[in-house]
Amino acid sequence: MWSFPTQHYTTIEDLHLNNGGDYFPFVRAWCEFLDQVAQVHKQAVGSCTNISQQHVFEAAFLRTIPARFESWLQTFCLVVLFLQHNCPLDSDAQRRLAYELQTLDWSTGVTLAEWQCILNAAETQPRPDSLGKTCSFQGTDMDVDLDLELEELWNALPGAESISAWTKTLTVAQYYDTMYYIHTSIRLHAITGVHVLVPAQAWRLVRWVVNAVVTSQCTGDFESSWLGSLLHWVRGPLVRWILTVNPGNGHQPSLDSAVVHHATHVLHETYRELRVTELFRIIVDYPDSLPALQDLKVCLAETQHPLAMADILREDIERRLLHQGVNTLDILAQYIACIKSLRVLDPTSVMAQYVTQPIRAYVRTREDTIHFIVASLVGDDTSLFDDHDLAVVKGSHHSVVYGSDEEDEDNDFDNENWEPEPMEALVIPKSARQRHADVITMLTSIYESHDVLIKEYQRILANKLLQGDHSVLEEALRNLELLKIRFGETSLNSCEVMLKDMGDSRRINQYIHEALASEQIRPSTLESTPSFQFFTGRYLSHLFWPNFREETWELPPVIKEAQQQVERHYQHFKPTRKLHWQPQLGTVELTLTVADHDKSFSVSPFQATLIYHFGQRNSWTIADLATAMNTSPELVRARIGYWITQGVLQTAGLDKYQVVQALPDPNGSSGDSPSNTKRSTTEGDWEDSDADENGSDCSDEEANVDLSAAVGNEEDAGIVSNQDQRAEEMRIYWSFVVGMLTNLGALSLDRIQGMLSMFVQDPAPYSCNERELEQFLALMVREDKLELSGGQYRLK
Amino acid sequence: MFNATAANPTGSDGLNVTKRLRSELMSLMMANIPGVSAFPESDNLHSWVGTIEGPPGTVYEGLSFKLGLKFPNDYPYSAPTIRFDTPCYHPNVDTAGNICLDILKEKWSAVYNVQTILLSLQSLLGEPNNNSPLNGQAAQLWANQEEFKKQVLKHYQPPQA
Repeated sequence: MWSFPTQHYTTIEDLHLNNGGDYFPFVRAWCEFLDQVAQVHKQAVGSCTNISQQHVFEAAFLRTIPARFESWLQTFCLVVLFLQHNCPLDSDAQRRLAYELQTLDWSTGVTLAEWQCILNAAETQPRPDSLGKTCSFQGTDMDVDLDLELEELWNALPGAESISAWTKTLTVAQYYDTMYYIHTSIRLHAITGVHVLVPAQAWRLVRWVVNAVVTSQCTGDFESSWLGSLLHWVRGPLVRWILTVNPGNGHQPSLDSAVVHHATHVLHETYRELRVTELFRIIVDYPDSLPALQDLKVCLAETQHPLAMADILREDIERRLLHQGVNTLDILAQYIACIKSLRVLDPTSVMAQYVTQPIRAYVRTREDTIHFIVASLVGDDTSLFDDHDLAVVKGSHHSVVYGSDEEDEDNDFDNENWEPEPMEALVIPKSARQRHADVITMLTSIYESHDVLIKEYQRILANKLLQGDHSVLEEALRNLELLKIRFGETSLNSCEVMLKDMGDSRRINQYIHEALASEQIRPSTLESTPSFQFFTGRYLSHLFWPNFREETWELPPVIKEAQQQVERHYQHFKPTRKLHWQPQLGTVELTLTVADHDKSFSVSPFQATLIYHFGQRNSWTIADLATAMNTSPELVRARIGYWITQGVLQTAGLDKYQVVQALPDPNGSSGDSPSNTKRSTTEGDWEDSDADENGSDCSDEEANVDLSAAVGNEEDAGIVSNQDQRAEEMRIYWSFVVGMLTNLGALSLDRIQGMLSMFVQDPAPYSCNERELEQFLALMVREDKLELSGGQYRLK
Repeated sequence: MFNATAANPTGSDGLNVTKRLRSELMSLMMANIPGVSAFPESDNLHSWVGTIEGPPGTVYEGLSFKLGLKFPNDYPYSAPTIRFDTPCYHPNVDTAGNICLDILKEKWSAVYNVQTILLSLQSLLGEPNNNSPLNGQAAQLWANQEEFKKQVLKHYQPPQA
């Protein structure tokens, strides 16, 4: 019946690309087309014989519209033209029309009320006689000056030089598009006498321009504050421009302030939407991204507080941060950055709590988390905190003690800076909330009880004390004081005892050395007692130290003798206590003469014993060494590698080792030694720790129970790892497990977990999670006490 | 409130019973006596499963017997009901597993507990009271230990784990 315009484009960009921005032929074609449609329609309606036929035609006509026309305005024009030819509409037709309009997909948000208003107006207005004359679109009406003004608009924009040409061209296209709408609406105004669409056009243009500008200027730039200058631009140049290009402005004086208000709102909203999607990156860049955060805070205050923001961030965190590929340290750093940045947005830190919940849950499943937290608390490794965070610990003696009652803060009526909690607060259980908790508290509160942290600290401390020299002591004391402020005095008791042990050891050594020296003066014992001055012991109260990995092997006789001497004097010094040697701890300083070169080493006692044997005989097999040291060949084989890498030993056949002999005559330099290895008993000191200072009533049954694998890395000074220790502690539940498995037969893991949590109440309720239980049961399976088949545990 | 109390007059006692049973479980687990053991069957503390092993040197040596222990609401003022779930050929145990033991009947006292009951039952296996048998045939046969053992093994079915 009618023909569409030859050029039909779906989007404005499409039009721009294909037509080089020249709208006029296109717009003119559409206007002619609309007139044509009106004519055709008029004829069609005129040819209908009765009213019901007309209705059927109109309905069909309306339904085809949205499918064929992209722009709602074109649709609108059609509808209005259609109405012009069918007035007056009865109420039934109006309802039908309203219904049809409702089913259209209105992307531009013209409300039904607005439609109704237009329809009513169309009904009451006298019909113009000739549509063609009054409504013809005058392409030449477009004022070229507006283009100039657009140029000025861009120049006023902050960071104008960086705005892309593409954004500019798109905006020009959008501008022409809008111009077309505006002119069409003028035309409609001529028809209907209503001006309702003009503000809508202005809004549309404002939104589009602001969106283009914010996206192109601010994306990815978090280090400078954009909001202020943008706001200035929007309220000044942009609004002026809008009012200039909007010819409907003269009719509505209220439009000025409305446009300013609207433009400001649109800017805030657009900026917020952009930043919320970028929030994860903003947090990564913290504290450099502080300006962006502060901008965002303003926007959040101006627009509605979005729960959606927190949810988007949570999803981002789960997707981008909490997976296997990320270091625990990085996760923790991001956790802290997250707390700090969100605190900028929401000082009550409720949002931070909400958003970081997944992180907290996740890092708890990682084993090295505790280590990193404690290490950064005591200033080891890469610290997660900056000076300010630590200053909080040092400065405030009244700072938040762990788990203190948070109710106080809510009831603090004198606090002028009090802010209500945001809506998200409702999602978080009251007990889990900590208003204004500092960063370290937020970090340590990842674990529900700080026992694990203290135990880890104890482990780190033990490592340091046993490996380091006395200089470590001072630093350790300082750290301990800091931790006391945070965790309270009592919980760090054992650490204090550990430090005290170190101090005491020095005194005891002094005493014993003096006693030994005085013995030597007496002639009767002169020849039988060699000097044991090289031997210094560390006397540890085993109850307060972490468990040690037990290793058994024979020390060289000279050391054993020294031990006996020391033990004898120790008995004298503290008669109520008994020593239990831990030969695997401690260090040996020795000087070896290998191939005429003196080399100094600081090694573990095991290594020292190993090399000692090579001092007695030049070559050994693994099996012989194991027999001589009274230990397992595996242990020897695992550790002899050290001396090979140090260039002291070399292989001499399968499982056979000998001392490196670079020179043909190794005996030349060392003289008294049969080989070229010399133990430096005079200047080095063979520090052998562990003396157990036991409680007075305890006898000799204080062997440290330890089942962890024998060959571990020697780095950790033989202290049982946390995980193993946990499994160790669970042994108290073993009798329960035996009890239930004896009587109830095979049980699954969750059943055992359920039983334990139900029945174990004394002395402390069962508190382990299923994973820990599984580890413990796995240990029992390894020890051949249990068997696991088909997910059911049974006793062997 | 009053209705609830009236409907369940033993409400507070019930709590005490739970507490007592829990602590008995605790001490039983901690005592870790070889040969006897018991554990609640499910989440109901009033119903336990016990296991006793035949004492060494008796005809029951090497066998293990499952028991069902039901604790009344007024425990420990009333004795628990105990029966053998594993068939046990014994002068004081009938074919249904019911047990005739004085301390479970008229001589019950609140000082007894699960641990003492289990130990008593274990010793009952080796030293039956033939004067008041529930299984007369077994009582008569007791004198002939060799024949008795055959009967024990004939009746015995190893408990299903």
